[in-house]
Amino acid sequence: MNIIISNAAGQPIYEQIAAQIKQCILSGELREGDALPSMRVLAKELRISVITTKRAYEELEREGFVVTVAGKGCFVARMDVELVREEHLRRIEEGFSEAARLAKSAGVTRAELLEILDTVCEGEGL
Amino acid sequence: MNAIEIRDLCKNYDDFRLDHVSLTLPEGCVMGFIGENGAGKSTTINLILDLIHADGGEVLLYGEPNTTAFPALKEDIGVVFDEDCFPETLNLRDINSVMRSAFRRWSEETFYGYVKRFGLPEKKKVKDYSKGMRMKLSIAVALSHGAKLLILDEATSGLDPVVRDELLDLFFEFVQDEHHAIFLSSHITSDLEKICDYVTFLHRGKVVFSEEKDALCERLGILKCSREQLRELDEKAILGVRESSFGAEALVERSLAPTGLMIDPVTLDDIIVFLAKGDK
Amino acid sequence: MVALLKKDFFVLRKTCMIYLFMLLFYVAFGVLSGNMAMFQMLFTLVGMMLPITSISYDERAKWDKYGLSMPLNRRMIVLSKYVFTWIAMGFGAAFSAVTLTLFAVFTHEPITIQLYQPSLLFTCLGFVLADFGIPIIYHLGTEKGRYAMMGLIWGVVLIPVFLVKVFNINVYDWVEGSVTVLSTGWAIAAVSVSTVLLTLVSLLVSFAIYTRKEFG
Repeated sequence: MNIIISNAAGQPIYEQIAAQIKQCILSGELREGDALPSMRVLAKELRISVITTKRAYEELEREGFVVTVAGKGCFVARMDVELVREEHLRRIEEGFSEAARLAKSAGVTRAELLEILDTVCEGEGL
Repeated sequence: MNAIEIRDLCKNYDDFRLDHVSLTLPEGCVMGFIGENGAGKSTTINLILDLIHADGGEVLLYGEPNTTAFPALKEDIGVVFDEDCFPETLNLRDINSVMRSAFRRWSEETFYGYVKRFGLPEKKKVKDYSKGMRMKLSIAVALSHGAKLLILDEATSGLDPVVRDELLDLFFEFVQDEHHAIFLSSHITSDLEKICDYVTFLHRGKVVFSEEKDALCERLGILKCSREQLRELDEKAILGVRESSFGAEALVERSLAPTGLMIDPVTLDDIIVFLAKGDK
Repeated sequence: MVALLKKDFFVLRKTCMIYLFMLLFYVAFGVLSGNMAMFQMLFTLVGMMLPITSISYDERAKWDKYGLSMPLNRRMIVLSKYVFTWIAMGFGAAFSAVTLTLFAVFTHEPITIQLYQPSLLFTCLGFVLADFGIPIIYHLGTEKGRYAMMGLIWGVVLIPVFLVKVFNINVYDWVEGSVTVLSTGWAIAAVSVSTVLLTLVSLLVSFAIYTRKEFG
């Protein structure tokens, strides 16, 4: 598992970590029952505060991606199909929001935007 | 269990006062102790170590007051000062011999391990060491007697970036144990940004902030605006200002500043500088 | 405490060597000139100089601050300085006794208590000087302390000289008289006991000074 964080990006570090771990879980790189590295080890390896890694794990737990077993650590939770679908939908919406923002600032119309979406979907076989 | 707990610590000198300083460092964490020169950081550390006597307040180390059980407590504390403290005519073997008799849990193996790791010359006397080497020696000693708490007073200022990086690794390793803790006062805020969980800002003898570093840096920001806009701001939001002919910068509490203005993320250096300017 | 004694010994290794050479030189000098009195005074000097030198080395290295961060309490640190001095003086006294005995054997002189008396007196004098020196140095610091000690010694030396000049005392008679007095068993016992008492007082005073001292 690779976790790469950037200090320059606007996104808080704990969010970056949570997002990347989520990605690993969704892509199957991390499977149900796999142990996540301990908060302290992760903090040491990434050279950040342990409070940051703790927050990232807490966020993941809140969203249902991991479970903490007292004394043992954090483990990838049983994948809830609903949860995964929700996460994917959220990401799609994020992508669309970004596209819409760009379109607005570039003066691209809604019709033109939908055209682009059609072309792309065809390309992906959707 | 808190590694360090300071409540309302006071110390009066003719020209300076440490005024009701309070802070808490939980086990397993690293606290950065920051402030401009003369803010009182060394005074606070001297009070923690009972080198000077407090005029009020108390210091608890792992739950014990630092005045009563102190000699026994000091087995658990590793100290590194900014001045070199070893008599010049001693060499490494002498120091190892002295420390072996001083500390119950002294490990000769660990000590020589660090000596090798830092590349310290074994036969030379301390007086032939450079400043950087003396510092590394102090650190090697502090890490070789099974200490739980490391207290460093400007220990890394004379060291080059390569060594400081190595030390950061050591510190990270040190706090892998949940009962260990590090309290370091330093001007090298880039190092502190990496390792600290908590920061305490001291300014003219008073604690201005003492909280989680991430939370603090999220709460504050550097506002960039025109001088006219600056005057319109809520005074409570501003912690320090720098004006130029073309505009102004201010350290602000994001929650109290109006939305829509350009607010940059803040670094620890910014906080120190703006706080110092804030009084003017 | 062992740690501190070790430290003082390591620090003063060179100084001790110098004293040892001086000792040997004076012994040789004494043997050749037939007069052993000179080098006994050395022990007095040693008693005064060793603790003061070690305290000044400590001050220079800012060791006090560091020493207090080690698991030792302040009294222990003070006591170790005294113990260090006692060990040095003890060594000196033993050395003196051995040399005097050997000298007496070789010159076929009778071995009596009188032989060792001057040594004992000078050793006591050494203890007394250390008893004054250590608290003074702790209280005033090395620089001012040195001046204070010099002042004290000059005072001690000058007062009798002053008395002699003013009251026109015959020095020789006076010295002979006091030597006879001091040679009695009672006098020796009295001097020894009062030295011990003075040392205890000095120890307590040093404890008080050091406990209150601030090392900022």
